[in-house]
Amino acid sequence: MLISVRFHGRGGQGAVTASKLLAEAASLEGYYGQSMPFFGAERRGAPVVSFTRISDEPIYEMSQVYHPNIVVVLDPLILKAVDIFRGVKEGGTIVVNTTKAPDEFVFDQDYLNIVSVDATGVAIKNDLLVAGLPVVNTPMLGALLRADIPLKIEVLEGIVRKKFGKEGKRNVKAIKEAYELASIKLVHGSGKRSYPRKKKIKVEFPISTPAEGVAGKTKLWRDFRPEIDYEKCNDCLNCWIHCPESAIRLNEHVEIDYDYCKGCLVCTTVCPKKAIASEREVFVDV
Amino acid sequence: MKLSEMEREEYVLPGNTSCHGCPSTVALRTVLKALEGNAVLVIPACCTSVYMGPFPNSAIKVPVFNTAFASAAATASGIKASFEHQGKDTEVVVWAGDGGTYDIGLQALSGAAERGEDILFICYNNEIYSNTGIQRSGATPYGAWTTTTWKGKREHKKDVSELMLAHGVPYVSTASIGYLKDLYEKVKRAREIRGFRYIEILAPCPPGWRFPMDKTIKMGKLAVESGMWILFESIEGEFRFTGVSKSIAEGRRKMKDLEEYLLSQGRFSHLTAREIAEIKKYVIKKWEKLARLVEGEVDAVTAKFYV
Repeated sequence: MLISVRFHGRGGQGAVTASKLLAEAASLEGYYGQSMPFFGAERRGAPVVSFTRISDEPIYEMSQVYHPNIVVVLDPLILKAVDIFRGVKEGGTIVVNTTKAPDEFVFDQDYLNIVSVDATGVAIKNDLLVAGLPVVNTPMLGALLRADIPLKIEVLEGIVRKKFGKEGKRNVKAIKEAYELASIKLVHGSGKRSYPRKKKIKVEFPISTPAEGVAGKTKLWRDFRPEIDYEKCNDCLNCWIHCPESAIRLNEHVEIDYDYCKGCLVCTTVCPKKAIASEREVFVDV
Repeated sequence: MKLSEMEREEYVLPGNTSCHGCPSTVALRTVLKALEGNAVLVIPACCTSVYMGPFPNSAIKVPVFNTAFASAAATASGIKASFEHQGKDTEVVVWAGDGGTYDIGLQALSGAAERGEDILFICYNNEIYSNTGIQRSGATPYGAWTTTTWKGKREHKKDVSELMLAHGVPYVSTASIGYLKDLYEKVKRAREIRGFRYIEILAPCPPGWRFPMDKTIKMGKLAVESGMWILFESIEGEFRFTGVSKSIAEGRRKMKDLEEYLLSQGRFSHLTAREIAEIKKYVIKKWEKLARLVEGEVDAVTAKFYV
């Protein structure tokens, strides 16, 4: 069982708090709860979105909720700014703070449960005002319990009491009133919902394989040609370890690979026996 | 250790597109030999991501992950986490230039060091952005010419190896291209330690520093001998000088004249006596600062606070 809830509201109405309270209530009931707000340029009055997930198994999904079962709309006017029906699963529930009748909503799903409640009215009646604005989050949580959600109203009330302290009493009253007031109705939509088809994208990671001579035979870079005098050489391997090009091979003795030697002459300077001399390179075969 | 005991397998293949006398290839060869090829390289934008060659081939014989400039240490943290999950003991090595360490990569480096990610971060420091055509970096020393400081840089370099000491990571060391055995052994020791490890290699760049291509190794030696580059190692907070720097610190060896190092490079050829004196002052200050970290001296300092 995974219930995902999306809250729409405006900054100041308490959508983020409601989302948190719901997750807390769920974890008190023994479920796993998760809550996160959508971070944008939120300020008072701007549309905000927040998400809650409730599950009986650990929740590993950490993304936003794109296909909610339940949408809670704290502000009736937000309908004009945001598409609240977007991505809602068939047969899902929309809990909306409105004075309109449930039938008046138009959506693309086949059918949805619409829970309508005049939460603003409940908030004003119970004096839930902050800076003159009705805060509808707790009444909306009460209405939310009408949806198919396995939470007891007492648990929610307990959490709200703890969270709001002195204000808890009024909030709890608002929850109860909104729960009683809310009506749920199955509403048919247009059913024109078009599922965007997932494009199959073939991804191939470019993986390079190791090879000698990625720049070709780098002998052509050479102006000077180092030559090892094997009579002086005592196989100390200094030229081998210091060669920037890995162009000195270790066979029986050190040997310069003239296909790749770029002629930087580092080997001539590191040889303690001065056994490597250099001369002008003259290519005959190129 | 003898050179003949070193790993013989080549992990940087010949025919790559590095410049003549490139210090980075020498250092990378040595590092991968020390790790015996059991490594994954994470390479942000730098010379190495260019000289390893274009798709579909690579001049490096271990897996390489090319990543964005700013995120090398973060990428390596992720790869290491995946290896831990799979139970693989492969070393994840960040191979970054000084741009990817000192400037653009610093926040990811600092973050990974603070989280104690089990990765080996190696900075090959040529003190410039050489890949893009010799611009100044945070590692460019005072007075050095670059295409963006054409009258000589006016600021001293910052020192990320000291910054790593301050992070308190289990392993920090510096190495120079002039002493590859020392580098080899340091990588071996770093491999034994778990947690965040940082090695910084001085990589004198012939085109960027304006010196003949065959002098790469000599310049690496000269930098240490003149005291301009200090070799040290700090294992679990125990700081010590190593190699030639140790002999210098213990007074067994005289520092070579700084001018010999500076004036053999075209980038310092315009320096005045006053500027050389300024660099000298900086070098001496640095030595004094690091010498205080050696055990014994530090104890004497902390003792004053805990009477």
